[in-house]
Amino acid sequence: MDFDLIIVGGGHAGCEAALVGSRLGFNTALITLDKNRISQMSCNPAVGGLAKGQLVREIDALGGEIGYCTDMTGIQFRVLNKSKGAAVRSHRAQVDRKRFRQFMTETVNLQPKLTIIEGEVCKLLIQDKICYGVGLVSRETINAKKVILTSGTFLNGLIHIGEKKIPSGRMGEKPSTALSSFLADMGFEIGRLKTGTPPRLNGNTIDFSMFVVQEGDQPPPYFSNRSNRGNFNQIPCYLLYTNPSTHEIILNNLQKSALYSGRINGIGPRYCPSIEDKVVRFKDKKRHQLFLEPEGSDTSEYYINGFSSSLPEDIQLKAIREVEGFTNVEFTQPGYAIEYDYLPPHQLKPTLETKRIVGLYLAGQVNGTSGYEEAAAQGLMAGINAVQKLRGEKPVVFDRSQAYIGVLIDDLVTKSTDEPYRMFTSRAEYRLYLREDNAEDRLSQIGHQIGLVTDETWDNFQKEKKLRQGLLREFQKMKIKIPGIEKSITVSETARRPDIDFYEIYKNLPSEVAVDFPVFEKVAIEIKYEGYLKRQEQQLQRFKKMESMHIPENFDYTEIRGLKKEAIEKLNRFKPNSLGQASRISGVSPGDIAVLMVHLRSR
Amino acid sequence: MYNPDDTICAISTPAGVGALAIVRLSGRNSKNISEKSFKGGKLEDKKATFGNIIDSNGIIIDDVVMIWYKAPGSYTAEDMVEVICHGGYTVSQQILELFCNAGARLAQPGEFTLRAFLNGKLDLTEAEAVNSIINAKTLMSKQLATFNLEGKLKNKLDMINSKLFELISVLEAEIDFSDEEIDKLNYNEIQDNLSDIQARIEELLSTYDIGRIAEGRAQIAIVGAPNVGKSSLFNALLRSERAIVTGIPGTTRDYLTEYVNIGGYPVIMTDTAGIRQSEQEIEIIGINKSRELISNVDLCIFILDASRPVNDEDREIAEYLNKYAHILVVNKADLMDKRGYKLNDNFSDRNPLYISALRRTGLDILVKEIQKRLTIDLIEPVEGALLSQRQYDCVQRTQKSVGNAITALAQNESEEVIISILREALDHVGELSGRITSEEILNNIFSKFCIGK
Repeated sequence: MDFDLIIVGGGHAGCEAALVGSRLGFNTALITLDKNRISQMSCNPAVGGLAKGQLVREIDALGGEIGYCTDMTGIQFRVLNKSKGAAVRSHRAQVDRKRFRQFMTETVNLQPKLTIIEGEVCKLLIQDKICYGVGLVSRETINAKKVILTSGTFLNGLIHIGEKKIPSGRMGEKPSTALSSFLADMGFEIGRLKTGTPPRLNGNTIDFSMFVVQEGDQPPPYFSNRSNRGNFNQIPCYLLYTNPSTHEIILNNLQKSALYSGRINGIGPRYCPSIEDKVVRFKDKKRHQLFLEPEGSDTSEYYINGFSSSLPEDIQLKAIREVEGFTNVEFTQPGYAIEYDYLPPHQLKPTLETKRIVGLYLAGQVNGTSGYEEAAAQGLMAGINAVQKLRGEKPVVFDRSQAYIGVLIDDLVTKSTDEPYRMFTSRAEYRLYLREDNAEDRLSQIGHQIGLVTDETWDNFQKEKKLRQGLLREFQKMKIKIPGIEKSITVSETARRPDIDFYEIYKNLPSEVAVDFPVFEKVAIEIKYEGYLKRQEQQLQRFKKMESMHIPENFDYTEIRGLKKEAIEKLNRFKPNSLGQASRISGVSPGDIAVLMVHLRSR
Repeated sequence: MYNPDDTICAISTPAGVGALAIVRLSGRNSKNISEKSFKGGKLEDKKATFGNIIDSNGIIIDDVVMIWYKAPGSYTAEDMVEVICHGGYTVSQQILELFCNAGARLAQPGEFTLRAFLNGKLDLTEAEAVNSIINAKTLMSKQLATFNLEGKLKNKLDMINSKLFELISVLEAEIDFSDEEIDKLNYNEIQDNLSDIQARIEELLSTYDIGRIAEGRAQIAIVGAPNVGKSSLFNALLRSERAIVTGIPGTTRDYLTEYVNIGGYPVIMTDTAGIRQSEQEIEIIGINKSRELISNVDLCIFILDASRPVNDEDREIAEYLNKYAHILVVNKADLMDKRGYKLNDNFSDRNPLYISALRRTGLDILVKEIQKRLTIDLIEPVEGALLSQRQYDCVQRTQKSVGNAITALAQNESEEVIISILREALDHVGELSGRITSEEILNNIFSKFCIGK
């Protein structure tokens, strides 16, 4: 069998990559360990959230799938950080875990030019440092021009529940053991990470009356402009808290926790600590917040966010039953910790192709990230860049001022990571510009050029954009009177004032302005940040200038006088492709950059 | 631009006749190059070695002491050699030529210090301090510069930097972890933090005047109508208080300008009579120039003539000077009418100083008054002062940004906006210490050095 493109792994990264390849007309194979577990959500049944929502919007603007799939299978939609400015607001959706999987599985199954193959990849076919296919455990080989590896937590996955250890890629699924050692033999650096997931609860054994209810927004805020689902009956989430009795049980049984008994070597995420970690590290805190998320619309199962644990099942149960409302709760699945191999991402180019092997791309959790959104973004970009290479066209790499996707990949390849990497808005220097509302303005043209954004979606976007540009001009002159504000001022001025709500302005617009609130809001947001973005302009120019100072691919830093030893080591390790990227590598000082700048100039 | 691969050399002592001179080399071939022309003991790290410098024909040029500094234990963090030879015009030049023929190149102004900076030996404030020490005109300015070389200014900046950084971090957390229970700062706490940062910035800005005066960059001008005795006063002050410094920076060629000693510090004094205004057209230029000068100096000495009543020209000047710091002086007090000197409403200052420039009376009191008005009495050695216009500008921009953040907070702007303003402030502080840098800034700073430092 011969393909243009092989994707190894059917998670969120794998699905995006496979859809990119096949939709752009290349014969694509998706190899998965289990056809029935494609796009399985291994942790919480939610998509989006702070900074992650921006990623989903960007993926959608480029013609990716995760946003649309979430919209179609979501059971609750909200916008987070509503009390803050629009630049840091993010969509978040609870999804029906089963329906999300079914929807995405159907999408890939029905996709022409995409073949789903069940099997375990144990090696890559490589000659002269060029990857040309994969080998399966069944001894079968499959050739392809490009291979994208999206193996998630499956490389040497090992689940810990108390003292129990289960080799596993996800609960109930076998791990992939041979591939990791194959990659190590090929000279790749392999690291080990840890993450955890909380128990799943039987909703019929929960007393919900004890909790604070959290409803979805009305109307439901969808991710994708393609979604046309309208209003529906959303399912609530619940807020609740642990208490000192819970903490006491956990503290008394710490030695039984896989994490605290030293049985886990991998490094876990600091931003998503286990309940053991929280209780130990914040001894003074009397309570920790928990968040109860529904697993779907036709199941009574619940996910208890904030209670990730590697304690034995009976201790987990005993501790959580101390929480009011959970007195009689039963588990459908205990919490567990999972350790897995990853490839520290400094081994990648910004296209996500490995520096070591031509034609081999890595995307998703195997690169040390966490989160469906981060994985999907990488899958999309690996897919796009593999295709660009097949087409003989220029790579698509976003810089930090263009997209969160750019920030994500730049961080990975420039800083690598030794803990599971998650996106935050504070990672983005230009976040006042990298907003959810303008994702299409920033990216759709590229998505359309590549061929992922359909003509229909593109035309609709163009129409909306034209409308917005007209309003933007009119609002500079159009005066309105807002109740509570003494004199009438221009619409632009009202939008810039922090004390006036956008909806308040919308309600007071003259009736001849025919515009829906969501479109008006986009215009208002643009006006609001205009001034601040202008102030960043100089900084942006400086950034762009540094990014444009190219460093040749096989540049040897060893011989450069004036570079400090640590800098030489780091620069040789990361092989940055621009002076800007070099300046972000930790251990490389401004002095080193000045030396490098002088050297590049004098060449 | 500078190629860091080169080995550079320069004569580090001033041109002219003196007992000794020093020729310096820095770069990877320093030792090789110097050894080629050296006959004497074996060079050892940081040890003085006696020997001869010989030319290619083996002819002895001079007896010298040579010191080799092994990288990175030198001023530039590179291999360095210092040759201490006899002074005068020829010997050091000959040695320099020998070194250049052997593969070194002449250093650009400030290149030794540039290398120290690029190699991480100094941060920008420290590198600038080296320049200030070399150019120090007074003990005080040398003292201030030494504090900065020790990192006192850097410490203050680091503190402002870390306070900004801390505040930004907390505000960032409120955005990225808003759905979790975290300790948030309330409005007042943010405000207190910002005021604290602003107070530190203002303290720092206030040190600039001290540095300016200590470095002899304070400026006064003598202003008045024709023939009131401006030049007489200029000369009288010089005769008694001429400061022993040479060379005045800036474009002062159009004015008569000298340093005068006020309370132990050199102050630049300009006689506006020196601004040529003989022909009609030039007169306008002269007036414009005077006005420009007045707006740039720290203090004006405005002279009236006691031998005649106040006239229109006096009044016009008085009106113009109202918005600038000035001392009102009545000259030719010895020729004053017995009934006294009458000032009218145009003069905000009703208590002029009476002097006679020719008879040199009242000058002591005038000098004391200048000293008081320039706050020279209050000068003390501050640890960590702003010593250059560049430093002052950076801190002023930081102050502006922090001020904008305070305003934005008061207007209830949301966190991401306040953070973006505070990040601007952080950039400005970074620019000062060299954390954020650009080629232009570097070129500007290092072009102000003279060769061989």
